[in-house]
Amino acid sequence: MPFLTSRNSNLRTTGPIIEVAIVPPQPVAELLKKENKPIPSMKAIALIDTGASSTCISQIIVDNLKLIPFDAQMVLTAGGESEQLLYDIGIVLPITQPNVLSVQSPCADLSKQPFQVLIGRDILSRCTLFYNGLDNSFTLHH
Amino acid sequence: MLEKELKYYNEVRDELRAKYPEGGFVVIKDETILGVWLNRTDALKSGIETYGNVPFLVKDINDNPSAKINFTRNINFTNAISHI
Repeated sequence: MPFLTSRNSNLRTTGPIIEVAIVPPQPVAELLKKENKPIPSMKAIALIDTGASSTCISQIIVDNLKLIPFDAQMVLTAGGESEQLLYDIGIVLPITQPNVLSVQSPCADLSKQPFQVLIGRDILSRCTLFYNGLDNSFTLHH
Repeated sequence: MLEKELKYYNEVRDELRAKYPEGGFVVIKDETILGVWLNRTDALKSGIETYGNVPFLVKDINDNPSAKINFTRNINFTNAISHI
Protein backbone atom coordinates (compact mmCIF):
# COMPACT_ATOMS: atom_id res chain seq x y z
CA MET A 1 0.00 0.00 0.00
CA PRO A 2 1.70 3.26 -1.10
CA PHE A 3 2.05 5.83 1.64
CA LEU A 4 3.84 9.03 2.52
CA THR A 5 4.86 10.38 5.89
CA SER A 6 5.58 14.06 6.36
CA ARG A 7 7.14 15.57 9.46
CA ASN A 8 7.12 19.33 9.93
CA SER A 9 7.84 21.24 13.13
CA ASN A 10 5.23 23.81 12.02
CA LEU A 11 2.54 21.19 11.38
CA ARG A 12 0.10 22.88 13.74
CA THR A 13 0.44 26.14 11.75
CA THR A 14 0.64 24.80 8.20
CA GLY A 15 -1.66 21.81 8.58
CA PRO A 16 -1.08 18.63 6.58
CA ILE A 17 0.07 19.90 3.19
CA ILE A 18 1.29 17.93 0.17
CA GLU A 19 2.20 18.73 -3.41
CA VAL A 20 -0.27 17.49 -6.01
CA ALA A 21 -0.70 17.80 -9.77
CA ILE A 22 -4.01 18.83 -11.32
CA VAL A 23 -4.93 17.86 -14.87
CA PRO A 24 -8.06 18.24 -17.00
CA PRO A 25 -10.57 15.37 -16.91
CA GLN A 26 -9.66 12.32 -19.00
CA PRO A 27 -12.12 12.99 -21.89
CA VAL A 28 -10.78 16.55 -22.28
CA ALA A 29 -7.19 15.25 -22.20
CA GLU A 30 -8.09 12.70 -24.91
CA LEU A 31 -9.62 15.45 -27.05
CA LEU A 32 -6.51 17.63 -26.70
CA LYS A 33 -4.31 14.65 -27.57
CA LYS A 34 -6.39 13.93 -30.67
CA GLU A 35 -6.01 17.58 -31.72
CA ASN A 36 -2.22 17.36 -31.14
CA LYS A 37 -2.48 20.00 -28.43
CA PRO A 38 -0.48 19.82 -25.20
CA ILE A 39 -2.30 18.51 -22.15
CA PRO A 40 -1.88 21.14 -19.45
CA SER A 41 -1.06 20.23 -15.87
CA MET A 42 -0.36 22.30 -12.81
CA LYS A 43 1.52 21.49 -9.64
CA ALA A 44 -0.13 22.89 -6.55
CA ILE A 45 0.16 22.90 -2.79
CA ALA A 46 -2.81 21.12 -1.22
CA LEU A 47 -4.07 21.20 2.34
CA ILE A 48 -5.74 18.00 3.54
CA ASP A 49 -8.97 19.30 5.06
CA THR A 50 -11.16 16.82 6.94
CA GLY A 51 -13.73 19.61 7.30
CA ALA A 52 -14.36 19.67 3.55
CA SER A 53 -16.76 17.13 2.07
CA SER A 54 -15.39 17.89 -1.40
CA THR A 55 -12.08 18.85 -2.89
CA CYS A 56 -11.83 22.54 -3.82
CA ILE A 57 -9.52 24.27 -6.28
CA SER A 58 -8.45 27.88 -6.65
CA GLN A 59 -9.46 30.12 -9.52
CA ILE A 60 -5.87 30.18 -10.78
CA ILE A 61 -6.07 26.45 -11.53
CA VAL A 62 -9.32 26.89 -13.45
CA ASP A 63 -7.73 29.70 -15.45
CA ASN A 64 -4.39 27.97 -16.12
CA LEU A 65 -5.94 24.67 -17.18
CA LYS A 66 -8.83 26.39 -19.01
CA LEU A 67 -11.27 24.17 -17.14
CA ILE A 68 -14.93 24.16 -18.07
CA PRO A 69 -17.77 23.37 -15.62
CA PHE A 70 -19.98 20.38 -16.33
CA ASP A 71 -22.13 20.40 -13.19
CA ALA A 72 -23.29 22.52 -10.25
CA GLN A 73 -24.31 21.88 -6.67
CA MET A 74 -25.30 23.72 -3.52
CA VAL A 75 -22.26 24.51 -1.37
CA LEU A 76 -22.60 25.23 2.33
CA THR A 77 -19.91 27.09 4.31
CA ALA A 78 -19.74 28.78 7.68
CA GLY A 79 -20.67 31.98 5.83
CA GLY A 80 -23.77 30.73 4.04
CA GLU A 81 -24.76 28.73 1.00
CA SER A 82 -24.82 29.18 -2.74
CA GLU A 83 -25.08 27.06 -5.86
CA GLN A 84 -21.64 26.72 -7.40
CA LEU A 85 -20.32 25.44 -10.71
CA LEU A 86 -18.31 22.22 -10.41
CA TYR A 87 -15.23 21.39 -12.45
CA ASP A 88 -14.24 17.84 -13.34
CA ILE A 89 -10.53 17.46 -12.64
CA GLY A 90 -7.92 14.79 -12.36
CA ILE A 91 -5.67 14.94 -9.31
CA VAL A 92 -2.40 13.09 -8.86
CA LEU A 93 -1.23 12.62 -5.27
CA PRO A 94 2.38 11.68 -4.46
CA ILE A 95 1.06 8.28 -3.31
CA THR A 96 -1.15 7.66 -6.34
CA GLN A 97 1.10 8.71 -9.21
CA PRO A 98 0.93 8.00 -12.07
CA ASN A 99 -2.74 7.19 -11.39
CA VAL A 100 -5.16 10.07 -11.71
CA LEU A 101 -8.09 10.38 -9.30
CA SER A 102 -11.20 11.92 -10.84
CA VAL A 103 -13.21 14.34 -8.72
CA GLN A 104 -15.58 17.26 -9.15
CA SER A 105 -14.59 20.45 -7.46
CA PRO A 106 -15.99 23.91 -6.84
CA CYS A 107 -13.69 26.86 -7.36
CA ALA A 108 -12.81 29.39 -4.68
CA ASP A 109 -10.68 32.46 -4.15
CA LEU A 110 -7.72 30.97 -2.28
CA SER A 111 -5.32 33.71 -3.35
CA LYS A 112 -4.60 34.77 0.23
CA GLN A 113 -3.96 31.21 1.36
CA PRO A 114 -0.60 29.38 1.16
CA PHE A 115 -2.26 26.55 -0.79
CA GLN A 116 -4.23 26.26 -4.03
CA VAL A 117 -6.18 23.07 -3.33
CA LEU A 118 -8.20 21.73 -0.42
CA ILE A 119 -8.24 17.94 -0.42
CA GLY A 120 -11.63 16.93 0.90
CA ARG A 121 -13.30 13.78 2.08
CA ASP A 122 -14.15 12.75 -1.51
CA ILE A 123 -10.45 11.90 -1.88
CA LEU A 124 -9.93 10.92 1.77
CA SER A 125 -12.68 8.31 1.32
CA ARG A 126 -10.11 6.43 -0.80
CA CYS A 127 -7.24 6.87 1.70
CA THR A 128 -6.22 6.44 5.33
CA LEU A 129 -4.94 9.53 7.13
CA PHE A 130 -3.03 9.42 10.41
CA TYR A 131 -2.42 12.81 12.04
CA ASN A 132 0.11 12.62 14.85
CA GLY A 133 0.15 16.00 16.56
CA LEU A 134 2.61 14.91 19.26
CA ASP A 135 5.11 13.89 16.58
CA ASN A 136 4.34 16.85 14.24
CA SER A 137 3.74 14.32 11.48
CA PHE A 138 1.02 12.83 9.33
CA THR A 139 0.84 9.75 7.15
CA LEU A 140 -1.37 9.24 4.13
CA HIS A 141 -2.01 5.73 2.79
CA HIS A 142 -3.76 4.96 -0.48
CA MET B 1 -23.36 29.34 -17.14
CA LEU B 2 -25.42 26.08 -17.13
CA GLU B 3 -28.50 27.90 -15.77
CA LYS B 4 -30.66 26.82 -18.72
CA GLU B 5 -29.46 23.21 -18.49
CA LEU B 6 -30.05 23.03 -14.72
CA LYS B 7 -33.56 24.45 -15.07
CA TYR B 8 -34.37 21.92 -17.77
CA TYR B 9 -32.83 19.07 -15.75
CA ASN B 10 -35.03 19.92 -12.77
CA GLU B 11 -38.06 19.75 -15.06
CA VAL B 12 -37.21 16.31 -16.50
CA ARG B 13 -35.46 14.67 -13.52
CA ASP B 14 -38.45 12.57 -12.40
CA GLU B 15 -39.12 11.48 -15.97
CA LEU B 16 -35.48 10.42 -16.38
CA ARG B 17 -35.55 8.47 -13.11
CA ALA B 18 -38.66 6.61 -14.25
CA LYS B 19 -37.17 5.88 -17.67
CA TYR B 20 -33.75 4.78 -16.33
CA PRO B 21 -34.45 2.96 -13.04
CA GLU B 22 -30.89 1.60 -13.02
CA GLY B 23 -29.65 5.22 -12.79
CA GLY B 24 -27.03 6.92 -14.88
CA PHE B 25 -25.50 10.20 -15.95
CA VAL B 26 -27.48 12.43 -18.28
CA VAL B 27 -25.88 14.88 -20.69
CA ILE B 28 -27.90 18.04 -21.38
CA LYS B 29 -27.00 20.95 -23.65
CA ASP B 30 -29.46 23.86 -23.68
CA GLU B 31 -32.76 21.94 -23.58
CA THR B 32 -31.58 18.86 -25.45
CA ILE B 33 -30.85 15.51 -23.83
CA LEU B 34 -27.93 13.81 -25.57
CA GLY B 35 -28.36 10.54 -23.65
CA VAL B 36 -27.79 8.70 -20.39
CA TRP B 37 -24.63 6.71 -19.59
CA LEU B 38 -23.85 4.40 -16.70
CA ASN B 39 -20.72 6.27 -15.62
CA ARG B 40 -19.68 9.90 -15.53
CA THR B 41 -16.55 9.50 -17.65
CA ASP B 42 -18.48 7.93 -20.55
CA ALA B 43 -21.12 10.68 -20.31
CA LEU B 44 -18.46 13.38 -20.32
CA LYS B 45 -16.66 11.73 -23.24
CA SER B 46 -19.83 11.55 -25.33
CA GLY B 47 -20.68 15.16 -24.55
CA ILE B 48 -17.23 16.35 -25.55
CA GLU B 49 -17.26 14.27 -28.75
CA THR B 50 -20.62 15.81 -29.67
CA TYR B 51 -20.31 19.41 -28.50
CA GLY B 52 -16.57 19.91 -28.02
CA ASN B 53 -14.91 21.31 -24.92
CA VAL B 54 -17.72 23.73 -24.10
CA PRO B 55 -20.05 23.91 -21.09
CA PHE B 56 -22.82 21.31 -20.94
CA LEU B 57 -24.44 19.57 -18.00
CA VAL B 58 -23.58 16.07 -16.76
CA LYS B 59 -25.85 15.01 -13.88
CA ASP B 60 -26.20 11.83 -11.88
CA ILE B 61 -29.96 11.29 -12.16
CA ASN B 62 -30.00 9.53 -8.78
CA ASP B 63 -28.35 12.47 -7.02
CA ASN B 64 -30.20 13.76 -3.99
CA PRO B 65 -31.29 17.25 -5.16
CA SER B 66 -31.02 18.60 -1.62
CA ALA B 67 -27.48 17.24 -1.05
CA LYS B 68 -24.92 19.93 -0.32
CA ILE B 69 -21.16 20.11 -0.42
CA ASN B 70 -20.07 21.17 3.06
CA PHE B 71 -17.06 23.20 4.15
CA THR B 72 -16.58 23.94 7.83
CA ARG B 73 -14.29 26.85 6.97
CA ASN B 74 -15.58 30.03 5.38
CA ILE B 75 -14.47 30.16 1.74
CA ASN B 76 -15.20 32.76 -0.89
CA PHE B 77 -16.46 30.69 -3.82
CA THR B 78 -16.14 32.45 -7.12
CA ASN B 79 -18.45 30.79 -9.64
CA ALA B 80 -22.02 30.95 -8.37
CA ILE B 81 -24.99 30.06 -10.50
CA SER B 82 -27.44 32.93 -10.89
CA HIS B 83 -30.96 31.67 -11.53
CA ILE B 84 -33.11 34.44 -12.93
